[in-house]
Amino acid sequence: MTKNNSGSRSGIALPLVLVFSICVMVFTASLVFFRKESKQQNLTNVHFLQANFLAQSAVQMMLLKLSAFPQEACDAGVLSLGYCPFRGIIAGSELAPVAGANRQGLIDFYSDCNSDRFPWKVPGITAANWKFATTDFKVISAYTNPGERQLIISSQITALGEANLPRGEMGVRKEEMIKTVKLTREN
Amino acid sequence: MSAKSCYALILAFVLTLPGVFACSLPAEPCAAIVPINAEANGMKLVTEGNKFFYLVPQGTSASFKVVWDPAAHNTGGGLQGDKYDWCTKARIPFEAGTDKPNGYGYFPIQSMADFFAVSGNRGSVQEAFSRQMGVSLGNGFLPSLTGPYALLSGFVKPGNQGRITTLGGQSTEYPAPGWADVAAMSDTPVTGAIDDNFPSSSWNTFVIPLSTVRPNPPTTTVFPLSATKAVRIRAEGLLMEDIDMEISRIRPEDYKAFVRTGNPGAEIEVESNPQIVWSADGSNGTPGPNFNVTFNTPSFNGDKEQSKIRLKVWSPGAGFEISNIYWAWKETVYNKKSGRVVTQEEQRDASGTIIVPERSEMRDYWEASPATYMCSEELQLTLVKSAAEAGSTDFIVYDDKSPIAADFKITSANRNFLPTGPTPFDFTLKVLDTNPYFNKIFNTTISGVTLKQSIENLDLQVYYSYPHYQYSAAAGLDMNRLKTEGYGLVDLEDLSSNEPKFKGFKHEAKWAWKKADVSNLAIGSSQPLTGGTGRKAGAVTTITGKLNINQPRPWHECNEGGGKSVPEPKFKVFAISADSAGMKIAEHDAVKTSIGTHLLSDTAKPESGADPAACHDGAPIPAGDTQGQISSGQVDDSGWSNVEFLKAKDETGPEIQVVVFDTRTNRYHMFGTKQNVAAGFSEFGGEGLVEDYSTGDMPYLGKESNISGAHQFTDLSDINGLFDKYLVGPNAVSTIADDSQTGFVCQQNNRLVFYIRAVDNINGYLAAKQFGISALSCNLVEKNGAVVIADPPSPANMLKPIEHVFRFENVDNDGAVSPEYYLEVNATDHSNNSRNFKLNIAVLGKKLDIRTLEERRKRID
Repeated sequence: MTKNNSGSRSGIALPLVLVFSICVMVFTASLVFFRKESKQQNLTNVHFLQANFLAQSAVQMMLLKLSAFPQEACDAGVLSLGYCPFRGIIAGSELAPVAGANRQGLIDFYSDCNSDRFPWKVPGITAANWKFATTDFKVISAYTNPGERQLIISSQITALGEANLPRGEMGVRKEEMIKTVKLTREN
Repeated sequence: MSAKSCYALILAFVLTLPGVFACSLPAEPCAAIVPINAEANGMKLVTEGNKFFYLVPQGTSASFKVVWDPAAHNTGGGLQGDKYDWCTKARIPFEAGTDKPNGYGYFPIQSMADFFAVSGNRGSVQEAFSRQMGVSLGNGFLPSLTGPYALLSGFVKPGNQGRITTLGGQSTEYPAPGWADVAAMSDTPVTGAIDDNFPSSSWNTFVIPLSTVRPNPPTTTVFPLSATKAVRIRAEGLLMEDIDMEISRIRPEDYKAFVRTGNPGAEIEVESNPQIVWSADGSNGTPGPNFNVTFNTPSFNGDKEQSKIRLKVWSPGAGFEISNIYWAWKETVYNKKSGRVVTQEEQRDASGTIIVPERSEMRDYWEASPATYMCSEELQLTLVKSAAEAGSTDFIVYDDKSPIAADFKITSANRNFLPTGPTPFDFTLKVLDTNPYFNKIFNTTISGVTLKQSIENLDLQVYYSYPHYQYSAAAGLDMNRLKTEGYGLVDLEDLSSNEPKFKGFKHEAKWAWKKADVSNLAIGSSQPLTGGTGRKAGAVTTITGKLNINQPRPWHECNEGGGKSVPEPKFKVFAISADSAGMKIAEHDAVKTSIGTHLLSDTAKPESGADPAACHDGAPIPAGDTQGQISSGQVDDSGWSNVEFLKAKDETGPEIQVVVFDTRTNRYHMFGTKQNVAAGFSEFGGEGLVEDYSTGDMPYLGKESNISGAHQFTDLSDINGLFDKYLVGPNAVSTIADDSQTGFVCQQNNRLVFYIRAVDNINGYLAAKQFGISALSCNLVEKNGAVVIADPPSPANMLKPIEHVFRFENVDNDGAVSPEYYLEVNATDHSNNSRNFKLNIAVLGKKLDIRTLEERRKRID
């Protein structure tokens, strides 16, 4: 005969099971929730990076163009300040600006640095979801260094990256990048 | 008359007549033609021994008259003082207005006629003749010993002329006309030729047999009349029966003036009214006695005797007309007969048979008529003073008139100016002159009058039209004005202003007549021209020589080749010349004085003045004062002369100038040369060629290679210095101002603007002619080769900017330039002359640096 001592120890198992079950349930729920959050986070990051690098593309395109056409960039910058683009700002000169600054040279300079002028060649990347553009190019300062016979122009490139991420219904994200560039031209 | 006395008389005549009849006629018709009031008409009487002549300036006119000249001037022998004395003793008045050469004057021709009308004291000419001769002319017979001429010429005095006329009558003593008659004669001169007209024993040359005897028949010589009739003439001679002598009836108008031929002076035209003819003996002379004579043509050729124009008078048969004289002869007539003559007798043999038949033949013989005929023919002998005798009024005409016109030709095959001068040209001047002896050179003095013909006397001057240039400065010129208006050389107006303002100039051509140097003058042979009388009245004489034009080829005008200047210029040349006697056209000295060595004149303008030479007053120089006297197809005598034209060909390329605008430094640099191709002599209007184009240092003439070299701006030896000059400044650079040939230095990535300008020395101001440029090309070369220039500048669109940025440096750290960067320009003018311009460019690697400073980003929703 089995002694039944069920009177004192028969109630602990259930709680233990319940507790265990609850714990498992909680853990499981936590796992599900964490995974969901992580996925959302990843989409957000990708969306940002996509827009950010699209903006970076516009900046790089501008830098490339600056490298190729530094003289034109200088000319356009000088013109935007109201000086004659054909008249260099000679160190030590007292050159009076002409009436009416005109930024058209700068606008013309950056106006083709965008994804609309360069159709995507990569399969799966569409112009509808991947866009970038230089939205502004302006001179923020210019001065001459008499000792070095240098004209120093500080300019700012403003670029916009625009990414549309349907997955996760992320939608359109726009990232603006502002790049400051110093052009030094020896006179 | 007994036979004895007849023979005595015949002997007396034979011995005395030739001598007696050879004496002077009692009064000879001795006439001359002399000028009236010779001295007053400009004739100078020159006497030399017993002779004289008149020295006459060309063009002299005077009244002439046939006069009685009993002293017989200019015969070469002594003057006939005794005959002259007849007149003076007879108190015959002198012909008014005539001279008295050698102290012997002239008398009216009518007086001579009247004198000859005087007969003997009883009105008998024969009596007068006999009294003068000292012989009594009776009847008689003069036998002919050597022929009729020898007999008849005894009547004719040397210097006179005898003429014989047959009258047809017969004498009483010789009544038959004769079978052998005298040939008819009418005023036939008594010369040896008349012997043939008379039947004389000399005719008896035909031998006839008088019988049939052969082979040696008796013969005689006869004159054959026909095949069957002949005559034998003998005892011929001159028979005088009641000789009749009359003096010719003289009328003044019967005296005929003529110019005696036989010397060169007789070849010269003498105009007269009525026209005096030229003749050897004057028989066809011009009846007078009054003439108006003009000596329009010089006769003096350096030899006094040859140059004399000899006016003489042919005297009619003034003298004696002797008639009732007969040529008489006896003639026997022979008739031809024939008779049979047995030449072989008949022979028979013994039987009587004829063995040799008789032979006979007909033989001719001439049988004389039994009668002898006394035949005669009446003659008339006229004794006249011969016009062939010396004794004339002589004239030497010397040149006193200018030439009429000339034909000027430049004979050099190449009529182009030489670039630097002097330019020699050969020329001829055909001069139409009234002097047939234009080409004769002499220097002599006759009676105080100097007659000289020489080359120096020509005083030949050659003038040509030539441009001078007056320059005017221009300033404040911008690119647009340079594109649309014509200017010569231009340069930056102010090197420190950095403004594209230029200075330049224009010029205006001022035309001048200039005197050419003339050398190697020679007078060619004269081609005589005949006047209305068919005698020499002038000549065309060709003068040859060389002219030197000291000035160089005109700089801004040309009329040869494809690039003629507009308007096309005429470089006119003309000549003026006196004749070899120094006689000048009226305007000769005026032209010479007014021009001197040069004369600015509107008449020298290319478009001014017609082809006939015109000079100081704009009107063509008129022909000489004897215009119309003669003419020749070789010379247009409507004015003095034609003009000839020279050629000028542009052989110089255009001038090229390049303006480089450095946008880095904002400076316009000027690349061009001081060689002044398009400028001519002046530099920016500072100078003008008022006096003489050939003076001064002309940088462009004959220095084409220098000019081409001066358009090479390739000197980059001092890179650092040039960098400072071009980029540090402070002034712009002009290779014209500093007369350098430096290249251009700039920085990498520096925009340059090139303005190209080309202008030619011909039509350099004419936009319609694209400033003289027909083609313009440019070539800009950098590291990658030739730069493609879209729509490059052209002659019609010069100064069109060419922009370029040199992206790559071509100067290493040691200053060596490689590869060569350059701008090359080639321009061609309308005469296909090209110029090459080269501007070397050194590009320094002074970089433009780009640095990124910061980067910011933000999300935009």
